[in-house]
Amino acid sequence: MENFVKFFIEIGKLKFTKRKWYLHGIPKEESESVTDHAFRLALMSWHFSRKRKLDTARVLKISLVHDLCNVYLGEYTPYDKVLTGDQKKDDEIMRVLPRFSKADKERSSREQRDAEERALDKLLSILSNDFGEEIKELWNEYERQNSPEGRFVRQVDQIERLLQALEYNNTGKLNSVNPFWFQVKEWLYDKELIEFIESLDDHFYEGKAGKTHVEKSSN
Amino acid sequence: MKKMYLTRETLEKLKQELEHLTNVKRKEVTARIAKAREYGDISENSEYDAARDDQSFIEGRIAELQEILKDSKVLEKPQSTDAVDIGSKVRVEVDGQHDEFEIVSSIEANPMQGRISNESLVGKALLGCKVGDVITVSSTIKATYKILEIK
Repeated sequence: MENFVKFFIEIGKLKFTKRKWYLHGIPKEESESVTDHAFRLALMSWHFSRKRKLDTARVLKISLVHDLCNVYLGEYTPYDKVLTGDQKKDDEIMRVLPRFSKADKERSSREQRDAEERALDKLLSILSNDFGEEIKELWNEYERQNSPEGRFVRQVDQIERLLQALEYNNTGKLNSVNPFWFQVKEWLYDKELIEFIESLDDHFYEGKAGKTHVEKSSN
Repeated sequence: MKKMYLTRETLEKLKQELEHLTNVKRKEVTARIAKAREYGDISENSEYDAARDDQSFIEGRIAELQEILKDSKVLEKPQSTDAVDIGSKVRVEVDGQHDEFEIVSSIEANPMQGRISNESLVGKALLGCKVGDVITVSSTIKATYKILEIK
């Protein structure tokens, strides 16, 4: 059982591992931890999965393990490379969602996955048993999006981030909530999840915008 | 299920996964269930419960893959670059920056890698657009994209 003791002590560090909200103006001491995020993601994913042909137990497990690699890596973001370390400059960079070419996105996504996989393998080497193998399989489903449950949790993950951003925005400390809205509009394709972000819009902006719609103008 | 357009690479991966599930995983889980039964009373047998859960997941995934493969077509590169279609690569101007998306089926979508779903709010709005068109996906925070190039 010694390996389980070591493993649970290691993942306990995630209670104190802050997510990188400081990139968006939130002081480190006020940022949520990795486990804070996983807790609400798990409940949201559970709720939204109930009416679907999805394995809820798997959805919950994926939500719980999807960021375990952060134990050794911290939160890895695709924006780490464009940041300068100068808070003022970085605030300006992160005010809008930094954009990259498709080739850069593919390369950065591959590098992120490799780094996260190495960190996860290091963590799971403590276990070296079927529990660890199951965690790796679930993480792969999320990361490579090769199961309906993995793809679903990935979308809910975007919503949890948006909700957190909206809550920070209400404190007046978030640099800009816009990048989070852009992301959900590009990520989400599940109809009920899209309806939910409309409810978030209603709740946080008192329904000023009405239903999400598209305006188009041609040259 | 509506027809789904998938790249040749993804279709091949899904076929391989189906083959692995039906020829390897299904047999493994059946053997685990048989072994767990040997431990006695199945109402108090956690090995048996776990194996049955795995079996249920495997069978569900097999059914899902069979359904996807039955209704899928190979996504060929669109013949025309006049208007955005599924399979198009689109270069856009957004928030004063340039970005590039490939419009794909939801099962292949991964915006981190530049692939957005044809059913996402932005993907759906881009379909049918021509170079020079500007679309805004409106909610309180508006997301505006100008189409610069279709490949």
